[in-house]
Amino acid sequence: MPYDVNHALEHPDVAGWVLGALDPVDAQAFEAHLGSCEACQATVAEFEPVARSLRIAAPAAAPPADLQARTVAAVQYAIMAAGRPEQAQGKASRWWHLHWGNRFMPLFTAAAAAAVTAAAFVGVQIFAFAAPAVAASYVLTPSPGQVGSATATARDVAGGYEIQLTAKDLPKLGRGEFFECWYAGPDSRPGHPDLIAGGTFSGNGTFTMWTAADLGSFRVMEITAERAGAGGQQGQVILRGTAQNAHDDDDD
Amino acid sequence: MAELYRRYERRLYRFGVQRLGNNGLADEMVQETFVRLWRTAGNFDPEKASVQTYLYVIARSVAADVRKRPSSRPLLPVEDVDMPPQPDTVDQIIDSMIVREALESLGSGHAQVIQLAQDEGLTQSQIAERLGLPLGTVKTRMFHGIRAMRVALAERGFNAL
Repeated sequence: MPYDVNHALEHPDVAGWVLGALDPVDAQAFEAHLGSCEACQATVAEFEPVARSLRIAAPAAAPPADLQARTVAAVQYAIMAAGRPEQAQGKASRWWHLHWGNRFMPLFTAAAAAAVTAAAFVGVQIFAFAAPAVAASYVLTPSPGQVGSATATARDVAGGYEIQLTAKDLPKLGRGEFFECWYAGPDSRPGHPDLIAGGTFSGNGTFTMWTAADLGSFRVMEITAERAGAGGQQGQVILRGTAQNAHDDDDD
Repeated sequence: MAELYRRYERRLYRFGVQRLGNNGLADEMVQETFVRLWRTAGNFDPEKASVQTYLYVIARSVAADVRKRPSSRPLLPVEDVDMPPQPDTVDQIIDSMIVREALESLGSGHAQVIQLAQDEGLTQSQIAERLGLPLGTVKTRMFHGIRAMRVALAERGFNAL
């Protein structure tokens, strides 16, 4: 028997039935009705695949607003790590075009075939991409005998920089310990520290910090494990990396 | 590239949450997926697969790697974590995205009652209480919502109907 919408409207419980959302009394009553009603059986047959599909629905999660900027930064790290020549800071869209445009041309071709936009195909959209104003990027590697890795970007914000740090596989902290980020000047060395504290965090993950340090001078980022109340940099340097694309490289 | 990212960011992120059960790890997966996309873009052959398929194949592989990382291990034993069914094939992944997008295309009143039943396991009277609606309204919204969902899935070419 075909699905009869008028009959179905008289029995709206059919939807609750297929979703398993009827209250026990209603479920019992509808089940008794269903056994003898071909119209409702037809509606159940129509609705059940919809109910089954809902069980596989992807979560309703929305990506964080800054994910795009961090993804762009992650690709920048990859390019730097691959030893590709860097473009001058402040020319992000040109950099973006050079590094992504040619490489993605087959993808753009397919995207165009899928009627994304003709503009994407010719690369115009590449320039429209809001590449972040990354002032400096860091790839932090472990000191001898240490483990872990991290990447970071510094972006110009009012009065300083916003630092986005992503740390992986850092060693387990002891009780009362935390990781601390530092910016080291050119003459900083054991016994003669030239350091600016940049913020603390615990564990692995992505963290946002702010600093007013001059990253063109304090080019080296260090991560140490510290204890509360120790004062200054007391722990060994676990990770270290030098700023790339800092402001003082702008002229090339 | 802007179009590619905008088009797939949300889908990839949701896939990450579904696969990894954690927003932070999903975040990590999306970033690494685009890094690998850049690294392997030269291998992409539009004759063999669509951009969407290529991206999900990469994302699935990245998700597997992210899950293996020491920093990604859950605090609870795996058997104690209530994870939803995991899509394995690219087709299943795409289906799960289509269903979510179809659900989001419904009117909010319809989508809300369906989501409360499906995601939270509430009965109709519990939904009525939660939303401050008469029980009859919940019943009719659920009915019309399922009908609209059927149409929305069909419009998106969902083939399990």
